Amino acid sequence: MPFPHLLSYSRTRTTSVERPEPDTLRAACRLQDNLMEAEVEITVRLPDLDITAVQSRVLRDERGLCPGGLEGLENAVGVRIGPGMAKIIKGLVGDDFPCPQLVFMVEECCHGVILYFTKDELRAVPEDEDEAREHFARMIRKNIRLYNRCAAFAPGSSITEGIDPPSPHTQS
Amino acid sequence: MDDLIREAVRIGLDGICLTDHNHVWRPETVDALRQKHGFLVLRGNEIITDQGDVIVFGLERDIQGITRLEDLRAEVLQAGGFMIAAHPFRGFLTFGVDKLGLTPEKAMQRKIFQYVDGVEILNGKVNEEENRFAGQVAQGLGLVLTGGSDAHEVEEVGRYATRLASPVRNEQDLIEALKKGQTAPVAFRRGRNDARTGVHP
Repeated sequence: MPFPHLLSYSRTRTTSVERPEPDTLRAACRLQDNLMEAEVEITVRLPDLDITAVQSRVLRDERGLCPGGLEGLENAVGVRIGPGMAKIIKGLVGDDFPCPQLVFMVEECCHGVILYFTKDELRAVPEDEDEAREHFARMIRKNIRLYNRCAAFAPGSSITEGIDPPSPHTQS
Repeated sequence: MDDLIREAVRIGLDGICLTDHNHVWRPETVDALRQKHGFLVLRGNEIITDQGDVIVFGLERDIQGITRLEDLRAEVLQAGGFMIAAHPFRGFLTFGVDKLGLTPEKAMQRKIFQYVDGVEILNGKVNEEENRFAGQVAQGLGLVLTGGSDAHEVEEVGRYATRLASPVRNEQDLIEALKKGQTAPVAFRRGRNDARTGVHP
């Protein structure tokens, strides 16, 4: 080993969403890094987007923080994906849950579900630059919580020009 | 808080409800505000449940964290209080109702509506379509209709309000008025002409 003092670390995390039935979505998050390998899968019922099942599997855990058979994640069953979900999921799973990475992966699955729907919206964006800008501006006006959620929607961007920022607490 | 009350007085509201998230105002603090301004200030509480935010009146316990809706319902019933689903469709237009296939009829089956007495159908922090959808659901279920500004800034006070049929002097009066269901959510702050415009009879 020529450079033993150098730390080598890599992480791959992927989230995928499938729709096995018209009224069901299944989102899976897979994590693999030097310390851990795990999978979390949630099942979501449409149209309410409520979580009907949560499953997790820890395949490798070098630090011993995430032993098999952990209870708590299933408390997220019944939560509806939407504003405030992260706070609700964390609150239901509990602060003392020993494996925060798994909780994060549940949230990643939820975000994956949101993106599943956003994808079609983004495909509908016109190619013309001005029309595209107006399309995004309409998206923000329609849902002001998108304001400042990414660089493109940040104050000062041409997309947000003329749009009043929401009150700081709108996004709570 | 003084500025908020002065603004409420200035625009012609008869009273305000303080419904901070998971926070119970001390009665003596609110009494002092009432005395100081000669204005009706009432206490409520917005509680985060596993099914969304719920405004509660008549519950003294300081609830922290996330509460199961069923547990909250049991406690509020015992206390003789009143529960309102706050902004129940906030953010649901992120995807577009059409893409989700969510209709008022389907939304009526949501668990939260089985456990609340009323629904906030005018909320100052959501868009008109979300409010309209909440109104359709609440009316379909025959639940009590309310409106509230959800004000976090002084200038937001009174954007929406709830008009009550009977005079309210304290929290018990408010709960009784709500239980009678004689409420009309109103867009209050748009202007004096709209100030008395209820969206529902």
